[in-house]
Amino acid sequence: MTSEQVPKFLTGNEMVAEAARVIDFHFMGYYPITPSTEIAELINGMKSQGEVSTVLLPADGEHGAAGACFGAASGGARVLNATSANGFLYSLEQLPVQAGCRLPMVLNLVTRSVSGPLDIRCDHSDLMFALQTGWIVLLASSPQAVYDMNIIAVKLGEHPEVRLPVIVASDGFFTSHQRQSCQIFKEKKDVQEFLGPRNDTITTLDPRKPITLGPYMNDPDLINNKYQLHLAHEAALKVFRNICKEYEKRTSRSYDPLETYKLEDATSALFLINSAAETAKDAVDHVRAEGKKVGLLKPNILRPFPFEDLKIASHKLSSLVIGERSDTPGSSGGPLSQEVRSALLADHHCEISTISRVYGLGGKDFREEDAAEMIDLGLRLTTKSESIPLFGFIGTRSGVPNTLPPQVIPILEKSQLISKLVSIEKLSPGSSKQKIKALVADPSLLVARPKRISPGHGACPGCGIFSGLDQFFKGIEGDVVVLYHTGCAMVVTTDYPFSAHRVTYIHNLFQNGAPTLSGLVEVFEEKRRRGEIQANEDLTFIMVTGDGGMDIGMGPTIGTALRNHKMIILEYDNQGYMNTGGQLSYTTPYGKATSTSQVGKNSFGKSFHHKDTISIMAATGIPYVFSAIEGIGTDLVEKGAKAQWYAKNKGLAFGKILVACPLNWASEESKGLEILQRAADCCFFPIYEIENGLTILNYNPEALGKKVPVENWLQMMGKEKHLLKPEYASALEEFQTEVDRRWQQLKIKSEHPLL
Amino acid sequence: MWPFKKKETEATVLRKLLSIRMEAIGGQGANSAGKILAEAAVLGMGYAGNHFSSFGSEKRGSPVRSFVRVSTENKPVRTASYIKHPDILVVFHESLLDSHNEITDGATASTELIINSKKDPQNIRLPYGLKLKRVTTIDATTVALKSKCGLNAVMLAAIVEACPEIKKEKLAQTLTSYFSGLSEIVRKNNLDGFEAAFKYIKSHRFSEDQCNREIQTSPLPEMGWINAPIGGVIINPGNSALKDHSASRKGYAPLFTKELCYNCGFCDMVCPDYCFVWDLDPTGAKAPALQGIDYQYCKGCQKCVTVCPVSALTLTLESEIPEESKMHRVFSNLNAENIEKQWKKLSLPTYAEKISKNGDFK
Repeated sequence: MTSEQVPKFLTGNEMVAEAARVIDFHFMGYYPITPSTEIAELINGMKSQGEVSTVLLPADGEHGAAGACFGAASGGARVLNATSANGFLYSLEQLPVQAGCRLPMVLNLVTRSVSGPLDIRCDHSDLMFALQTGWIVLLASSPQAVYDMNIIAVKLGEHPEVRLPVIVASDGFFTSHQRQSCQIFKEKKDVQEFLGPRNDTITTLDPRKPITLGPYMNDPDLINNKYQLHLAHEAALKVFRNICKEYEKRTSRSYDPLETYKLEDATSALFLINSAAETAKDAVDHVRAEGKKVGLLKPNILRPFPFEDLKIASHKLSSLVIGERSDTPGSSGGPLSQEVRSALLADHHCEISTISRVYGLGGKDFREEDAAEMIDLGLRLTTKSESIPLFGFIGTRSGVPNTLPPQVIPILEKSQLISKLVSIEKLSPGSSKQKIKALVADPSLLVARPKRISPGHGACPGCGIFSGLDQFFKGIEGDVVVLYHTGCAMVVTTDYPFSAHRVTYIHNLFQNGAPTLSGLVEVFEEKRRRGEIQANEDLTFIMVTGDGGMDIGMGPTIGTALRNHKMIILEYDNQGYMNTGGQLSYTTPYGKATSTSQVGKNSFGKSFHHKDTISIMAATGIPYVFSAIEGIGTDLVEKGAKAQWYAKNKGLAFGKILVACPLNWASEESKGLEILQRAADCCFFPIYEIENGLTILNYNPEALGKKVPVENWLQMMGKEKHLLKPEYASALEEFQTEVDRRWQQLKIKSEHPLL
Repeated sequence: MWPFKKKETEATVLRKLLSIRMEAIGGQGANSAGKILAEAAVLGMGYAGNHFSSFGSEKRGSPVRSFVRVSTENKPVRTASYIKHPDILVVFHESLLDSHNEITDGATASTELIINSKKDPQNIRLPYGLKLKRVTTIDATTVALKSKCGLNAVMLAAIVEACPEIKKEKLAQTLTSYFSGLSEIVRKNNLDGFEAAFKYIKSHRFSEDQCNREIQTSPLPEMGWINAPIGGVIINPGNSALKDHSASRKGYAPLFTKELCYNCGFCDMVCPDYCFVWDLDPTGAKAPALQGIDYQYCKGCQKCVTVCPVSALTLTLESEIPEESKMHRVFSNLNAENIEKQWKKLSLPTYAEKISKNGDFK
């Protein structure tokens, strides 16, 4: 019953995609987050070429993705998701719902440090939240294991005695992006035969067998539901063992719930999970070469925890060093230590000394030398001749007492920030639709405005964000507090210990920036009222977000707008999730090729139209909304000045600026301005304001005889120009029709005061 | 001792475990180079091996390290960590030696260096007085511009030249298959660039007494748990002004001709990197006058060139920019010497001594 295998040289993420290819999931709901994003990209690539038929749903956030997966799984489908870190935590609320409802699926958790401060590299702080969810947690320490565990996960979760969703956890970057020699099934049918069909006793898709999924269940019933969950986990360990044996027969690759390495005669051992355990095997070999009897314990399953296996495997040991890639502050031993110690404590005869060491947080490298240091600690512990702290961190750095980094450039003075470069003129009622007018100096004089961001930030060459932001800031007088959502502008300006912001800056995760700043605005007003801040102190509060933050953060942003706080929200729209490698966002234009809307024989690019964020925000009734592009004129500067006036006097101002992304538009770095101008000329991105509910067109290419077809704009970007080929003619027409429809609608709105 | 014979033997002995670390800036193709090299070793030569890169966010211009391990004995390569002490250290741009001096971290006297530079190997100065046993230089930027190929194709040639473990034909094959999804012309340019590169490789082997025996370690960052402000707060914002982004440019930069400029300010409006240097009169009586470009920050996007109405800014080969044009600084009052001193106070020798005494090193 062996199945033929073929050799490959692939990464962990690529191996998830290879597994998905042969599992043939019905559905994948996802939201991009480093380092798991690639999984959806790779499957999207296969799909665009017609190699898989999996439905891919790019959700508006991980919470939405988890909801989509829950719904899909309830219909008896094979379902996949992939996420990391805060994405996982954002979906966390949904996970016990799905475990409690007993709906199997597979979620690849590519582990990464949980914010904050934001860190995109590997540790297990996200994984440890999984322990409470009721999901099965499988561990994959290498790209090969990632592949195997994904296939095993499907069969395990769907087993009639188990019926649970399954997490497959692999290390971000160290496994997800590490290429290793590995093997995959040659034939998809062998995997299908191994898995068998998905059999569900209940489904939400059979109207002749209606069910109520997710009832309101209080005492005395819920405890019984949870006992069922407990029994399912108890059964899962046995089922896992059996499935792994069956898998080994086909592949010769074996997985025990608890893998042991050179443990037979060992007196001391390490307990490590995932990639660090693989690294530590080399350290064990080296220390053994010196004649010392050491070994390694490495679980392949964390939920259910292999308690019995651990007790049996460790009974000859006199010491065990537990390595933790996450800490539970205040517990003096991370989550793994608690698991291991409770297993050992259950055995009354156990006399093993255990110590815990936290290592490798936030992607800090775990090298063979680090493993050797842990082994050494364990060996010293066996002698019982010295006192070794039970808990500690390895790899921290003390720094130098009483030193602080120097201020390297002058702090901006109030006098520098109040200039005569911009001013606001109130217009008499009836003279114009506008209430106010911004008077702005010529660009030759605006250069005197000190930049609120210092040079040396790490944006890509030709990035439009920073010229766009600076033009907007040129219109702002006085002191500001800025809040940036997670995204390109945030990442490239604040890589610790560096910051490009010369003004006070806050980051919050990109579903929640608007509420965060609204809290600060209100406290500023209240402290001023109480006299805790001087009455003449004046601050302008500005939130800066990408278009991604306006997807995942749309709800909280609308809530903030409805409350009409005195602040500005500025969206820089580069038409995709560029910081994570150019995935589609909801503002991405129809037909654009992105890493999650690839072009192939089965796909023409993004399949739904760009989001009209300006109309959504205008519908909240805030006093000032605008769109703009950077240019050599002063339109954007004027809008900055107006936004500030409205934020000080009336309430929330929202602006959206289109900015060039040469990297992910595949356009020339020098051509940013021309591309933006064409976006305005073809009316894809009209330049207008909505002031107190009245729509004012600032630039009407049609009236000026400058309106061009969308092709004129699209042809300048490598990620769009495929639409000009004859085979995509209908997609192009669909796009042009929608652009024209929105433009006509906007024109009518601008002509009628009631629209 | 017969030096020639010795050299020959050294060059042909296969290392049991070959480790290569590449240091580059995002966009220079170090990740692809690592992947191609490892694929040639694993799928082409049949060795065991692994490859991975350390990334920041997905953008051009951030530091990228790419790691390749090859076991010529076919022992499974399990260690997943970065390569601290590489056999071969590859540097994709000479300016990284100044802007990112941590790139030589962990190099030992037996590490070989391959670096993209016009200089002769004998004239390469490494941070902290590091001296390595063999230095190879190749003017990869020029070769890549000439062949219209990626920098990585050229660097790969220099790497293969230094690695008898990997056959040149296998690498060429992998290079071709790697770019199979791209156009004929791209594939051809990269292969041609790779082939052409060999004649520009300049190597020099230093005698053992010329090499440092100690492992080089970069100065550790100055902050740790004792002195870093709690909450991860940065208390000296604007300090990105210390960074040098010269390595982001791809051979070209704007050149400013003051005589042609009438100070319209358009360049300043569109520059994403805030690198224009103005003479500003604090009283506002005199109009601002453009002085020049701070090339420490310019990434060479050329947006300013496209908006300049009078060709006071022109696209220029970087090597042709006169030295006097490079003197302008955005922060003229940034006292470089003083800051240098303040930061130096905390740098390696005293710092390492302190922490090793405290027993807190690691």
